Amino acid sequence: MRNLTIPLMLLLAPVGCHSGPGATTPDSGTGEDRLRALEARETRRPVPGPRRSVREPLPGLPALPPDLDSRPPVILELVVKTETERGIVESRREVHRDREHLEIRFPDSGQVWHFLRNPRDPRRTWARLVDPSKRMILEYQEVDLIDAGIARGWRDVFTLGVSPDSFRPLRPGGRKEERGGLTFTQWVPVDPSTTEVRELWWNEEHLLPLRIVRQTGHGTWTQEIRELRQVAGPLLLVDPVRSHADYELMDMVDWREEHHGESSSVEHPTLGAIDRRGPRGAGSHSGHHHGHGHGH
Amino acid sequence: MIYRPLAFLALLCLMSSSLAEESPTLPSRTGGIAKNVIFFVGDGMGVSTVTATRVFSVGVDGQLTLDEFPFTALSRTATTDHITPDSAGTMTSMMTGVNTNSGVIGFGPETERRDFNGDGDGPRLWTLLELAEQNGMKTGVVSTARVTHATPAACYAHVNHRGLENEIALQALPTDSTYNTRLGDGIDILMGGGRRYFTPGGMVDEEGETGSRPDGRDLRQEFQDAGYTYVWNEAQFHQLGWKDLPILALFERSHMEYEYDRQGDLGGEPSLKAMSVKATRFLQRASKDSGFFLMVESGRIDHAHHAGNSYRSLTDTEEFDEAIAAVAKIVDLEETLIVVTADHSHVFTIAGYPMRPKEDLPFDLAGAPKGYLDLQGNGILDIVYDLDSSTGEVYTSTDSHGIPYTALGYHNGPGFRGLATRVDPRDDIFPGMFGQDAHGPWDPDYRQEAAVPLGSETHSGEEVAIYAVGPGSSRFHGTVRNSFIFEVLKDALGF
Repeated sequence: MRNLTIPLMLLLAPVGCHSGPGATTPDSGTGEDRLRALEARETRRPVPGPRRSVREPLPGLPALPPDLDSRPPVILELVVKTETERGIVESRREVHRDREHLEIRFPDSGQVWHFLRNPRDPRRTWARLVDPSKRMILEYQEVDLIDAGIARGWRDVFTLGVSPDSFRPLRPGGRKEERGGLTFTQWVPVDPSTTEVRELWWNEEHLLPLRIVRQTGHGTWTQEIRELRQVAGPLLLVDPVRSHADYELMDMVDWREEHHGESSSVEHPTLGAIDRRGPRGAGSHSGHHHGHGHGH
Repeated sequence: MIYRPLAFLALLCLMSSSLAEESPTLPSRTGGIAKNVIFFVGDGMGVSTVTATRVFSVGVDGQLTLDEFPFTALSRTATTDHITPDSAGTMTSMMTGVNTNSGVIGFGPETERRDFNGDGDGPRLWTLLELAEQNGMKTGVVSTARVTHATPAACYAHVNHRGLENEIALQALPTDSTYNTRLGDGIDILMGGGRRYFTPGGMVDEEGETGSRPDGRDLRQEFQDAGYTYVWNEAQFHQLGWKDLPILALFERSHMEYEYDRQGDLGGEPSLKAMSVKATRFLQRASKDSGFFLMVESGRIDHAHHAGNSYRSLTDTEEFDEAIAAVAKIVDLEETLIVVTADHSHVFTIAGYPMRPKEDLPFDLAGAPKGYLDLQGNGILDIVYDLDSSTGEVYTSTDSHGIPYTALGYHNGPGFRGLATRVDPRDDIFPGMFGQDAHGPWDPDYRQEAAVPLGSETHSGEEVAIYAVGPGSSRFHGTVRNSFIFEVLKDALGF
């Protein structure tokens, strides 16, 4: 038990000016009484009230499709077009994909996204963004990719954002289209009010989306493969840390901390994931509200 | 411990609140009133974050652990060069009693960040952890950020730029030539993230990611060679015993997972609560009569705010509150001073006049939208619903164009929508997030709106709160500079 100490300044300190909940501080009584009350308050154990929070369940990592590694490397030219009330914006990018890496190159800015598959757990991924304008490589850990809405797992990266869940609100549209020697099948929404997707053209063998068209609250977003080339041998993609050894290397989280005054010129990669969360998403809220069956 | 009131008074009156490097005689521990000090830092945990977490976690009228602390004060956070500070300058101030420049760790204001005027660094300041080591106490640093990141580093290192994390790691290694010898035989517990600064560049680590040390050194091994027990996953963490001290635990290549994402970690990560409790127990056991100093940081509340992601900031703050409760439960508050604070705040606001949940109301409603009846996060993670007092009906609050808005938001950051007109948050597809669409402001990945477009949301300059319990805690009242925290802790320990 601690000996009672009566420092002079505590004797003179106003008592009771910070009464916590349930505190009893005598207004009268001797200085020693007040000090004992003060010491009793000093050692009152804080105990929280009952928690009322309900946590959203954490989505698991997407499982890998069988024989993922058997897909040959490909090089794609992608075009992303957004149409809003402010006009149409189109941007091109080149995608290089093999079993361990996916690289997205933005010709206009020179930026390159380099996604790496985790060798210890092949379902996982992380990424490096090369930004020549800043002579910097930004590193995105797995959670940074999730947090930024870029990708959840290697499957998301490999399939450019299309998962088995993506097909839940869709049905075969009956049409087919060829590109680069591959055949893509059209999928259309069963009920357009339950998904933003208006069209998805998909090749299951190579796990590639030819075209994705989404109608959002902001406008229309389209991602399309304009050119496709299958590659016989390895792509020889080089880790940016080696190819740009003189660039500054920084975690995305740290970039946010250090460059707080700057606007972001980061080109976001094209991973057009579609309504991963199923029927809970999408739809106008003018008059209706979807339910939430969530909980621990 | 014998207390000598008069000697204690003399020390209080005469002892300087900061110590320069060349102090000829370090004060030894005499007549303190606390055997142990546990210092909790919620990085970026401003008052609005605490309020929002309270609503989310325990309801508007509920009590967080923080709310039960008997003594509080406001803490002024400005550094010597910025109104709105960063973690490095503020933690240096709290750990040394000397306010300094943003970005600087362990030096005073004569040291510019990166020494940009080339006049060299000033003298190293004495940190509370160093004083504890010099006086035979056990010490620990626990963080969900990298253990070399600004806040933990300010406990034990001295660099003129917080980005020098490779060097910071070496300053904690007892066998290195740059070792901070003020740490005596070394920090007893160093636990958190940051394995990349302990792993050679290009080497694939335990979780399949690469190290980044440019000197090719494997500090994970060097720390073990110096006598440390090294662990990197949750299973190993649970196997630890107090006799495994000193401990180096690096659970992630960079920062640890947010609490919400922790369950999905590859190697498994302990929670902040679990780390705090284990560190406390081990230091209690190992320190015997000498006492201990432990710093625990919830380092990612700040990161979530920078990302404009309120959900993760609230769930990390909730976990922080849980950790504090768990530690307060296992220590003797007659001999342990616990202080909780933040280093700075964020431009994070609770806007409009959001109604409480229906079940909290002291009256019946004449009507309400369906969404109000399923209010998310006890009202804090939803759009704003207000009450028409002329009809008794709840309605959806809207902006001047009739569009609803969320209770939570940011003054600046990546949540800027950039549209001529706003979109109902419940239908909102945040531009740039081509991947995953957050559905509704209650979604863990939702980015609350920001008024000013920035790549990263910023800190803010207002005061933060200090919460204290234990011997000496009553010294916290009124509005103080954050450097005052060092004074109180040092005096409590009797340095």
